[in-house]
Amino acid sequence: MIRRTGTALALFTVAVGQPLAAQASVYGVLGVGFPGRAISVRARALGGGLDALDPRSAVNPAAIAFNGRLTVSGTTETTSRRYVVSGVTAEGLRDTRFPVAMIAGQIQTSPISFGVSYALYAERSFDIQTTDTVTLRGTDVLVTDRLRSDGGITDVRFGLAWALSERVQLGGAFHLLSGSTREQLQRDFDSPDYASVTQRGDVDYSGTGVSVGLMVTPSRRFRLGLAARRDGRLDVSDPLLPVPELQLPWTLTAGWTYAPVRVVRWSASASWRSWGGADVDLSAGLTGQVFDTWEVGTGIEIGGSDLGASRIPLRVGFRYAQLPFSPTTDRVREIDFSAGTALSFAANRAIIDAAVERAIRDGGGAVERAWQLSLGLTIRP
Amino acid sequence: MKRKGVGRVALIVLDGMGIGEAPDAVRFGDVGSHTLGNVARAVGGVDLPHLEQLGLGCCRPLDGLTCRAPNAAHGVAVPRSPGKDSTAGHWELCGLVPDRPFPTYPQGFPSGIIEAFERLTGRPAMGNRTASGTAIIDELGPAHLKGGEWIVYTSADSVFQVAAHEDIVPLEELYAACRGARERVLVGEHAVSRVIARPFVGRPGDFQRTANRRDFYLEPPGDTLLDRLAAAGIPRWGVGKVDDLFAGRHIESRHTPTNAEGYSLIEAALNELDWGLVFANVIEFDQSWGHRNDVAGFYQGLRELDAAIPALIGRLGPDDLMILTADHGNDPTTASTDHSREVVPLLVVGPGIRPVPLGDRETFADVGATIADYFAVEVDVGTVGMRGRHRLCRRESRERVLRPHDVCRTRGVGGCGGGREAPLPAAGCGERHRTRSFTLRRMPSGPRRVRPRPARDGGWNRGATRMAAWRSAAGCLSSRRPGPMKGWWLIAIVAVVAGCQESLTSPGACPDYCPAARLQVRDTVLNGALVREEWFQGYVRADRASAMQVASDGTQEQSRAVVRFFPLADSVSIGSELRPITAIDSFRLRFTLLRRRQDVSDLEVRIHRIPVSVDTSWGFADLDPYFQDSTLLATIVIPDSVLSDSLVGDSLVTVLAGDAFPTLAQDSQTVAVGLAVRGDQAAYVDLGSRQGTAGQSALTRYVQADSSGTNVSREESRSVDLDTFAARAIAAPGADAVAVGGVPAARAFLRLSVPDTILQRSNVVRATLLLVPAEPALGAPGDTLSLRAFALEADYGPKSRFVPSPVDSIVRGAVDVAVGSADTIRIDVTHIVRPWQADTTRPRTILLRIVPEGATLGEVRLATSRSAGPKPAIRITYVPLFLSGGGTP
Repeated sequence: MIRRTGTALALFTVAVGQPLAAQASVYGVLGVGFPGRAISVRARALGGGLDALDPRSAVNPAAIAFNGRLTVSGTTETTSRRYVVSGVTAEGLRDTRFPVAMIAGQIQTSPISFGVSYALYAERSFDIQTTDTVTLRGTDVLVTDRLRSDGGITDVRFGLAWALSERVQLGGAFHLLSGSTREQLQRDFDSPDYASVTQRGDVDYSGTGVSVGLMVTPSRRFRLGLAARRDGRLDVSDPLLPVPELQLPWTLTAGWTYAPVRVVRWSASASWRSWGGADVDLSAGLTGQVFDTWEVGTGIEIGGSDLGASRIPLRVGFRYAQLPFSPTTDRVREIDFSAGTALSFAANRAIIDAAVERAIRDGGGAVERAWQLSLGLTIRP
Repeated sequence: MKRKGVGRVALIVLDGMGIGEAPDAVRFGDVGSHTLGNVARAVGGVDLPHLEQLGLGCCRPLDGLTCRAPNAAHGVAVPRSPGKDSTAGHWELCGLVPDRPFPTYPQGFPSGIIEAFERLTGRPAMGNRTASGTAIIDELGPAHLKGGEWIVYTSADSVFQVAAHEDIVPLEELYAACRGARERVLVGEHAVSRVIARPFVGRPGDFQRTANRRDFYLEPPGDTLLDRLAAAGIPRWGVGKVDDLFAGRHIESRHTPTNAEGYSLIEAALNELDWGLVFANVIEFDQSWGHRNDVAGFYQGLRELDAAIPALIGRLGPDDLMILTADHGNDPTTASTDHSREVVPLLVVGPGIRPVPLGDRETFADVGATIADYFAVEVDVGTVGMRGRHRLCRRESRERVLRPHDVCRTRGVGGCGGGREAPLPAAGCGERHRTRSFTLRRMPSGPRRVRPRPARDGGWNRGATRMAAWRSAAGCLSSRRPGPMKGWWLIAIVAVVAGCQESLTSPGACPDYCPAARLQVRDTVLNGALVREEWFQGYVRADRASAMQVASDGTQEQSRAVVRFFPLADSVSIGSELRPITAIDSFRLRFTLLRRRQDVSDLEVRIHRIPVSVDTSWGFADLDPYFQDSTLLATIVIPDSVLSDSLVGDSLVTVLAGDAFPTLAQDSQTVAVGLAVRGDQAAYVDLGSRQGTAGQSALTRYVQADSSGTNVSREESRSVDLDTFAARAIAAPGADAVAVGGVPAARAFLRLSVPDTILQRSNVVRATLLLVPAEPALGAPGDTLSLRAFALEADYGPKSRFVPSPVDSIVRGAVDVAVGSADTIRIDVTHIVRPWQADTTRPRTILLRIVPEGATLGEVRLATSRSAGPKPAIRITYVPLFLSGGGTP
C-alpha cells in the first residue's frame, strides 16, 4: 500500500510539475483570464455533462467517494485556434496546457475518501504583439511591443468524501487559489539608435474557497449530483490587472446521468457562476463588462470498460457556455461539440482517455474557433 | 568489431594561435597573453567573416567578431602538457601528455653538452645563450664567416639551435651535425624538444635566414593517435611539419614554408584522400609572425586563413569532419617573442556537425580522442558522452543532453529541428540507416596517453552503457521493447511533445483585447550628471602610431614626417662572393597613402633629405633647417583621382638619382628623408607607418657591381627603422577644459553621477553625451576626427583599461568631428550606460579618445563641469520599470 501510494504521489507530482504555458482563448486577456475547466478528459468528451458526477473531475467533492482505489490522473490539452477581432485575424495559434491533475483514494477501509487535485481556475496566458509610433527626441520612431503572460490562477483542492451508503455520498473541500504568472514586456525600436527593452515580472495571486457536494443514486440507472462552491476574495498584484483584490463567484452545479440500457449512459449538467459580483472590483481598473454565467452540457457515452462492455467507448457531447468578461456590453458565448474515447489496460489499472472538441466563441467584437485535443492518463497502482 | 569511420578527418593545427591565457599561465610567465584577442585589439577589430561564421567569436570574445549562429561546434581546449612548445601541443592533440616538461636552458647549455657537440662535429661552437635568431647571427655572423664556428643558441622553448652560413658550412654538414646532436648528445635528461638547423646567407649587416631550416624532433615516448591509426590501417596524410613533430613515426608530410601553400596542400589532400586523416600544421602564425611580434603580418595571415575557409569546407564530404585548433599561443603583441601558455580555439565543422558549444575542454587530447572515436580506434581514454543511434528532435532535449560535454554528429540534424541551422545541407531524419554518431571525447584525469585497448566486448557494451546513461539523463524513452501499453505511452508522449511546439504570438487587437497598461518612454537631459573630468596625454607617441600625418594650414606647415631606413649594404653578393658597388643608379622611395584632403587639387608632398641622426626627440622646430628648398629631393604630386580614404592604402612612389644622398658612405649607408605638404596648401596627407597594418614605407636602391669585368645590376630594399612625425607646438588647453587626441595622444575621463531613479528603476534605451567644445576642434584643415567613447574595466585613473566597443546594432559611441567645428558634440553611449544598470560595481566613467590615436594632429577640447559657460550633459531616454521583476538591459 505504501509503495502504491508513493508511486501515485510521484505520478501526481510529475503531473502537477508541468508548466502552465497556455492561452486558451483570445478572451484570456480580459478580466482575470479565461475560466478554466477542472474536468477530466472523459467529462470533456461528454460536453461537460458529467461535470457534477465525475470522480476524476474537481467539481463535486462528493464524487471523490467513487475513487474506491488509489487513483492518479492527469490531462494534457492542445489547442489550435484562430480568431478575428476588429478585422484582425490570427491563425495557427497553438499551445499545450495541463489543466487538471488529481490523486484520490479511499482511506483504509473506511467510508471516507480523500482527493487532492490541481486545476486551472483561470488562464492568463497570452502573447500579443502591437506596433505603434512614438515621438522620441523630436522624431517619430516605429516601435513594436510584445506582451507575454505565461501562467494563471491555480486551484488546489483538498477534499474529503463520505459514503453514507451506496446510494448517498457527501463531500466537502477546501480550495487554495494561488499561482503566478510570468509576464514579459518587450519593446523594439525601428531605429538603431535605441536599444530594445525587456522587462519581466512575476505576478502572484492568492485566495481561498470551499465547496460541498452531494451524490445520490436513487436507482441503478440514475445518479444525481449537486455541488456548491464559494470562493473568497482574490488578492492580486499584477501591473496588468490594476485591482488589488477581486471577489470571486459562487458556483452552483447540478447534473445527472442516466443509463437507459446497460451500455449507454446519458449525462447532463448545468452550472451557474456569480461573476457579476466582481463587477464592482473590476470596474475600478478595467473597461468592459462582467456577467454572471450559465453553462450547460450534455453527452452520451456508449460502451466502455466502466460499463462492463467493450474496452473502447464512444463519447459525444455538446456544451453551451457563457464567458464572464467582455470588452463591450455584448455577452460572450461558447458552443462546443466534442467526441472522445478511451483505452484501458491491466484490468482498468491504466486508462488513456482522448477527446477532441470544436469550440466556437463569439461576442465582444470577436469570433474565435478552436480545435482542442485532450489526452488523459489515469493510473490505479 | 565496430564499424570504422568511412570519411576523412582534417585536423588543422594553426601553429601558435592561442586564444587566451591558460589557467596556469602564471607558471609560465604568460599572464595576459591572448594571441588572437590581443591581435584583434591591436588592429582595431578583425574582419574575418568566414571564421566568424564558423564561430571563432564564440570561442572567446574577440574584437570585431560576433557570436551569432555559428556553423561549427565551438569551444576552447586547455593545455595539460607541462610545456608550451609545438611538440607538446601536437603530442597532446594526439593523446600523449608527457609527464614532465622538455628541458630548457635559459642560461645556456651545460659545458658538457657543448663539448660533446664540438667533439661530435669537429667544429668549435660559440654563442650558447638565449637569443633571437636574427640578432645572434647579426652579432656572431661575421666571426662565423671568419672562423667557421657553430653559432649555438636557444630560446625560452626547449630547443638546441645551430646556425651556420650556407657558404661556410654545407647544408649536409649542418644537418648531419644536428642529427648527431639529436641522437647522441641531447638525450636523457637533456632531451630537448627540438634540435634546429638554422642556415643563413648574406653579408654582415645583411644576414638572412633561409628556408632550408630543418627541425630534428624527439620521438614520442609513447603511443599516439597516429600509431593507433597506423595499426588499424587507416591512412594518414601530413601537411607541414607534423612528420618532424612525431619524428616521422607513422606520418609522412609535405612541408611548406607558407600558410597559403599549406591550405593548397590540405585541399589537395582532401581531393585525393578517400578515407583517413589529414593532419596539417599551418606554420606561419608562429614562425613568421608570432616569434617576430609582427602584428600586421599575423592579421594578414588571419585574413588569408579566412579566405581559405570556404574552399576547405567545400571539399568536405557528407561523412567528413574538419577540426581547426592550435598547439599553443604566440602573442605578437607582448614583449616576449616566444610561445605563450594559452588555451586554443576549437572549431569542429562538417556536414553532420551541430554547432553546439563545446565549452572549455580540459585537455587538447579530447581532439585526438574524437578522431579515434570517428575512426573507431580503440583507445583507453575514458569517453564520456553518448554513442550509437539516436536523434534529438527537441531543442530542449538537445541542449540538456549536450550541455555537459559533447558534440554529437548525426546526419539530418536540420531535419530534426535540432536547433540552429546545420552548416551544410543535411539529409533528412528518415535516413537513420545511414546515421552514424561520434562524440567529442573527453580524456579523464587519470590516463595520460593513448594505449591499445583489449577488445573484450568490442566496445558494444560500453556504448550501450553510455546510451543508457544518456537516456536516463535526458529522461527520454525507455530502451526496452515497447509492448502494447508502451505504444500508447508513446502516442501520448508524442502528442504532448507535438503540442509543446507552441505558437502563441498573435497580433494585438487593441484596445479591446490588450491590457490597458503600456510602456512609457521618458527623455531627460541631466545637466549635472558629469561631476569630474580629467585628461591625460602620452598614450600613443607619434612614432608608435599607425599613421603619420603631414599637414599645412595654407600658410605654414603644421606637421612633418620623418622616415629613416635600415642601413644599406656597402657591397653586393654575386654568387658566393661579395663585390663592391661600382655605381648607384637610383633610389626608389615608396610611401603608403592612407588618407588625404580630397577637395584640394594638385596636392604636393615634398621630400627632403634630413640627417640620419634624426630620432624621436626631434621636435618640429628642430627639423626647420632640413625642410628648405636646398634639401628638397623630390615633389610628389598626388593625382586628384587618388582619393584614398581607407586602410588599404595607395602607393606614393618617387625615384631619385643615384647621387641623391651624397653622404651615404659617411652615414653608414643609411638614408633618412622628411616629408611635408607644400606650405601654401591647406591640406593634409596621412601616410602608413611601420606600426600600422596598411603598409609602411620602403627604400630600394639600384646599383651596379663589377663581376669579373662585367657590370652587374642589383637592387636591394630596406624597410623602416624609424618613422614618426612632429607637429608644430600649440598652446595647452585651459584649466577648465579637457583635451582628446593630438600628438602624443590624449584621453579624457568623464565621471558621471546618474540618479538611481533612472539606473535602478528603469531601462535605458538611449544615452547621449552632449559635449560642448571649449574651442573649435584643432587639426589639419579639412580633416575629420573620429571621437569614440569607451567604458572602463576599472577606474584606475590614467592607466585604466577600456572595454572595446561591442559590435552590434546599438550605436557604438562614435562620432565624427570636423576640424574647426565648435558645434555641440553628441555621442551615443548607450552601450556604456546600460551595463551600469546590470552591474552597480562598474565604474561610471566614460573614456574619450580619438581613433586612431597618435596618428593625427586633431584634438578636441571640451568644456567641463568646472567651465563658466555651457557645461557637458547627458541625455537619457528610458523606460521606467513597469513589471516588478525588473528589466533586462
